[in-house]
Amino acid sequence: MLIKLMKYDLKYMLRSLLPLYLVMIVLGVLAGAFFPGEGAIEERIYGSGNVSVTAGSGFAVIATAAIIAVTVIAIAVAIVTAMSVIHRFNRNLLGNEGYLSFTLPVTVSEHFFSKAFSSMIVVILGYAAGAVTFLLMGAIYTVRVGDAASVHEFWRLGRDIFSDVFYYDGPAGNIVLMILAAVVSIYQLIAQVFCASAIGSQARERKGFMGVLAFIGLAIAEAVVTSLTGLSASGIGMLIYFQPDGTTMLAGSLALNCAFAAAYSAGTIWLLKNRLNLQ
Amino acid sequence: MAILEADGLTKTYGSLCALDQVSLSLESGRIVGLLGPNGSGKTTFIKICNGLLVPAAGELRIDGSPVGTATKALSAYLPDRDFLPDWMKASDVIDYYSDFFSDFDAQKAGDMLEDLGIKADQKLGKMSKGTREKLRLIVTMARRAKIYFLDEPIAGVDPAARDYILRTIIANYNTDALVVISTHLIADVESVLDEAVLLRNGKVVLHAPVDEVRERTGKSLDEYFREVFAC
Repeated sequence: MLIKLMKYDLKYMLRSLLPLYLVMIVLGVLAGAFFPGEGAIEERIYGSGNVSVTAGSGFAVIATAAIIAVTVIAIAVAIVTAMSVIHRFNRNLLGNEGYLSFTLPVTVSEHFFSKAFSSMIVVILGYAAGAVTFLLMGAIYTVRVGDAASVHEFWRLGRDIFSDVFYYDGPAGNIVLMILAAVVSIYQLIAQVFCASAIGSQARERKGFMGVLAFIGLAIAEAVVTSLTGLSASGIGMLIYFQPDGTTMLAGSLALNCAFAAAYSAGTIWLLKNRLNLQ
Repeated sequence: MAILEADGLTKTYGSLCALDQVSLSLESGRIVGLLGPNGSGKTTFIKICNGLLVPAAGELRIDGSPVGTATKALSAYLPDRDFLPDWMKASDVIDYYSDFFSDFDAQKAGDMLEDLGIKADQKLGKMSKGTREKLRLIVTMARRAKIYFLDEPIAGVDPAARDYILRTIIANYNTDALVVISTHLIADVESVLDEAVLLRNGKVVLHAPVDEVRERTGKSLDEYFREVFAC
């Protein structure tokens, strides 16, 4: 039943996200196709020695517009992903649709994990769409320009963004830990949002506002517990700012993230089982 | 054996006692009216039967089992509100029910959609309120359930629509099943009821066959109800 639930959760969330992914990728292709650069194709179009014309031509305008549009769409993807995740949970379980959802022959846990896993998938898909956009942009630019210096500059930009991954030279097992920490962080944040929504739904009025307050309260509680342990609970932070000699720190942070994730999950499931408050 | 057995069921909301020691035993193959004025506990009882509320005390068994995934598989529930996702099309709703309920008859649901002129590819968000109500009724009655819980199925609709809804219920329900119809519009449903359960302030004040009530009181169920619940 979990897979069936996930099918409908993903269908709901992806119906607005898939078009955005597609637009972002197409704009990335445009940017790569029109980004100015000296190279063989421009020389054929404008004649040898005149390729610098492309920098001020309509090509550059299109490329600039495409890059700006990609950035805007990427931000839109992030916002729509967050809204879809929250909206799906609230509407399908805590709103009128809950009268259908909770009368299906599935357990409350299956409902929770379906929403959580589906949300993780769309978050990861968002990142993947961004990566594909950048890679396509770079690949098209590389093929089109064919100039070693321009290509080197383009890919150097990409490496700088993910510098700690590309330049990391510590134990290979830590890469696995970093990826695991990132995945757990995503799950933990989603579970925290769901837990806050479930807490907020207990209020008689202004459930959404109470949910926001609950999220802030949980974040504060998390920060207090984290500071008492001396560990950093940010798996993604560890990924970006990982220190090669911090394996123990990363493992400890991962364990802490898992504990928080488990607590949020258990709390949400308990509230949905015992304190469901459909109007 | 009774398919629904409630023993000392109690539900409170703070200081308000919505259900007070309700004990009931309902058999299969019967159409039972769960009757009472607003706030008498009808919806609370039905919600507990469908796992949407946890009772404060007491026990409830459906087909011998406590409320859970097994009992939800054999109960069909029509709530008194719009519960279908408006982003889906009518055909999506039928697929959804087919996916989760093994007793759902998709062919029957499709035939009923066609009879009512509801397009399978029409989105629920674009349907009129009346059409959505009919779709909710179709997907509920297209199940070959052991128990049907219909919470206020004829409230808020015109008399012609009420007749249609009642005819649809009678024509399509599983005749071996228990049908529980919760309503305060007794005159409209009296003719189809086998038994009546009257609730007042969360307590059962009457549980008897409808014919017996008429014979004993010399009144229709509706007249008896008005007498019992006179303000």
